[in-house]
Amino acid sequence: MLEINGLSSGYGKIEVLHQINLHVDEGEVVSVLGANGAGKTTLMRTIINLIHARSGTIKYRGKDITHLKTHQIHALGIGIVPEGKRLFEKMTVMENLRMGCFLEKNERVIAERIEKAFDMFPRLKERKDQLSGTMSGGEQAMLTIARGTMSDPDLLIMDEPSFGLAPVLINEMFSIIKRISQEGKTVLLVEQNAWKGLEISDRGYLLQKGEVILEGKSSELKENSLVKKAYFSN
Amino acid sequence: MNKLIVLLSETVLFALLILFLIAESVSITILFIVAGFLCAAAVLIFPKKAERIIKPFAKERRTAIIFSMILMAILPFFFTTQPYWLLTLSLAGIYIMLANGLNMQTGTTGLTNFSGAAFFGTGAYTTGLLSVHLGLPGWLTIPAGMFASVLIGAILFFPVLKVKGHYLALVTIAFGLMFNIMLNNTDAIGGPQGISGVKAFAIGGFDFSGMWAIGPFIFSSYANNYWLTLLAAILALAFTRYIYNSPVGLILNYVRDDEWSSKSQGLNISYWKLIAFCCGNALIGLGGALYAHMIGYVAPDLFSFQTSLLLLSMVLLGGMDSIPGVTVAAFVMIVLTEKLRVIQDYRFLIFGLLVIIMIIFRKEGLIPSRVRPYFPKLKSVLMKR
Amino acid sequence: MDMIGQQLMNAVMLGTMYSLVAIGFSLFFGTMNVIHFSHGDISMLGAFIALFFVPIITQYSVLGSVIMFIGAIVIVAVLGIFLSGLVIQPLQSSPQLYTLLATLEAGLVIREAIRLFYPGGKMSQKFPIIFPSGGFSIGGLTIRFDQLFILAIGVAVFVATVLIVNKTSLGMAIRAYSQDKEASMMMGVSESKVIAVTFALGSALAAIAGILHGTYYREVIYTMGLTSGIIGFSAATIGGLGSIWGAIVGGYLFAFIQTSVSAFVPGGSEYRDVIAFGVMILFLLFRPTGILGERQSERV
Ligand SMILES: Nc1ncnc2c1ncn2[C@@H]1O[C@H](COP(=O)(O)OP(=O)(O)OP(=O)(O)O)[C@@H](O)[C@H]1O
Ligand SMILES: [Mg+2]
Repeated sequence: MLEINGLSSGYGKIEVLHQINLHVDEGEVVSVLGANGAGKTTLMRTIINLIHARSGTIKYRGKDITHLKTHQIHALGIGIVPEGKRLFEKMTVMENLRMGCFLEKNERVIAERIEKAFDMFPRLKERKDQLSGTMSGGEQAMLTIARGTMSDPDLLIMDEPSFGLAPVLINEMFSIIKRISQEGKTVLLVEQNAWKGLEISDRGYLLQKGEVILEGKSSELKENSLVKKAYFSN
Repeated sequence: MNKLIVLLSETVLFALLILFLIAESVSITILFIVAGFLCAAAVLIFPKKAERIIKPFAKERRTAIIFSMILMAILPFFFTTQPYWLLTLSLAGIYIMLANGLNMQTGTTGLTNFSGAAFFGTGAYTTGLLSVHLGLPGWLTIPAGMFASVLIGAILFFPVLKVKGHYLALVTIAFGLMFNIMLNNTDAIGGPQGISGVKAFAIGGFDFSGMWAIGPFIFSSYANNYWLTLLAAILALAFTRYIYNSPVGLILNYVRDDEWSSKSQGLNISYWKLIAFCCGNALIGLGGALYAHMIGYVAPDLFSFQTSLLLLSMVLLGGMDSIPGVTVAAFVMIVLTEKLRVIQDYRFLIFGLLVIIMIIFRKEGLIPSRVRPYFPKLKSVLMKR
Repeated sequence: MDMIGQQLMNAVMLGTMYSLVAIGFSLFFGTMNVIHFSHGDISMLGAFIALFFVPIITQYSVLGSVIMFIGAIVIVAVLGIFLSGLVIQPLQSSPQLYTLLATLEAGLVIREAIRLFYPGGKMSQKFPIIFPSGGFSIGGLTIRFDQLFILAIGVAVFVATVLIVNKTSLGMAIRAYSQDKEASMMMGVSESKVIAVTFALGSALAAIAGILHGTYYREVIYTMGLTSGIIGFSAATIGGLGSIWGAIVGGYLFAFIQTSVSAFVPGGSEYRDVIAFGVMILFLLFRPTGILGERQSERV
């Protein structure tokens, strides 16, 4: 479904990602692991062309999307839960959700999706008219995830969705990701919580200094000493 | 060897300048301009080759500067029959002071001053008023003009320190408009007619409006004023260069580039901003004062927003923070418009378009400012202020 | 009473025109974080382009006025988009000073182009009468029909603008973009479209202001844009840059300050701009976020 070949990118003169190869198949949950600064966020942002690729190609369903604009990539059916929430702080919860399916014009469909989002996070329903900037960190994390699913994407890219959540909520969030995946969506997940991430994913990649140094089944990666090293020492 | 190259090329340039000014036919003028344009383009396209010609100048800086001053000083000998061009050159000299004053504020320190014309006007009006109404001599009126510009600038001290970026631009533009309205509506200073009859500069019994001769060479007031302006411009340039090359220049660059980090290193930002603002205004005031004595007449029209923009264009086209660049730009822009009367009316349009093109394609200007060497020691000395 | 009534009416007229220009400043700053210093000259351009239509409208008619209005607005909106592509978007990642200078110089170029190339552009031009003449009086106060039209058009445009920004999906895209560019693009908002719409909208409002100015004073001159631009920016600053309501409030406030000075200060009419600008500077110094603004002014 998503196929990345020889991808390099970076900031200014510094190249951060070097020759990344990665693929995600239909229906999979794929984890990207790596220490802080390994380049995970850079990879996600390059996929959606917020950072321009310096070489290599990104294909989505066989179509080359390397040079498409971010909004065009989204329109192909890619939902995004960005790192650091990035909510529209001066908009209400409702408006943020509506922004999530900005391209959908059918009011009935929108209403259904909002219903579904509230179903997933009842907490958001209670706060639907609150400005998102004034919500608690955990509530904002929920809204970010809900907003990312509003466009009913085929592929959902999530960058540290659990950041800032209380431990109880983290478990809940992972079960929600699982549920999203069971609905037939494909998920590309970056998680600081490597074990939990691997638990719900089928496969995983380990990034180190902008290179993929390991890839494989999640069950195997869990046992791998390199993964342990990446997360427990620096 | 290097010396010879410098002397020779300066002589050639000097001869070309005289020919350019004296030539009467428009086609020759245009030929000159096209040639000059091609040279500039060649320098930009082949920087390596141009380096070879520029290098001797860098090596023999002293010779280059002294010889060019000598050449400029003897220039009136070639214009005894067409003294009008001396007036143009004097005007260019005045704009060199104005543009460099503005450059010290906007280019070096990053203070957006869009009311250059107001300080120009303050210098000119003060000098004019003191000369006409009190009959004060030039050696008093000129410093008074400079001082008045600095003093009027004090009105803007508070905004300069507190307001940044486009808000400072707004404040200074509004200030310039307010200044112009005041000039136009205050009868005591002549209203829209301004002040006429400003006396020429005079010192020690020598009146600059008088004629005198050396052998067959007769010098008119044009030549006298030319020398006066030349002297002032040399002093002004020496001053700006001195500041630029001293640790103060470095600090002003710090203030511009990174307010926060320099503050954290113990710099007194406000102090240095005001220093740069006042020095710049003093130079602009000097230009205004000389202008009043030279032209003998001041009126609100010249001190409008249009002129402020023209000054900024000079800074931008020449290269922000680049003294040689700004100087060349001011010189070329004034001489060209005087020489090409045909474009006189179109000059603002042409310069405006040029600046826009420049900003989009070559922000650093025609002659970019050099990258400074870093002097950590010198900086720490001044840090204590 | 009569005099005060007339002055009040005058302030309302001026305020309407100022607000229309000020909204553009707020809109551009809010969405793209830029100040478009040639915005006032765009407004002037609106009036002059409207004049192009005069030969087409041989005699006064409702249809003629409408054609002239719409035609000028559409042309200026397109020019606004073009200008943003020329001097604003290429400089988005450069230091602010360059956008500032580029837009100021663009304003100069527009002014000079009109002065040099519009037939007789150096002088002020007569502006045709496009609203029904005549009027009526209530209690000694004479109200002209054109004044009513100016006010009605102004208010309708304010309401339409607020509705567009707050209720339509385009408006939602603009607001989202202004709050978080990247996040909005991730949700499918097209950056180039938002910028184009913003500039088209802002420029159209400026053109309306220019045409209303022409009908009110019956003449236009190429320099009018410089002052109206600086006044528009001042008004937006007083109201709180980035807020549309702020721009409207600021526009009327600026006009009231101006007219009060000329009405109540003896010999003050010449100095009304001096005082009004002075008030704006005080605002910047002591309340930099303006009356309604939420944004920090130190967005350098
Ligand atoms: N805007 C930027 N400009 C310059 N360098 C950047 C920028 N953003 C990130 N980097 C650098 O790129 C490298 C990769 O950063 P990235 O954010 O992709 O890491 P990450 O794997 O997502 O880390 P984390 O787990 O902390 O989120 C880091 O060395 C970082 O310093
Ligand atoms: Mg990250």
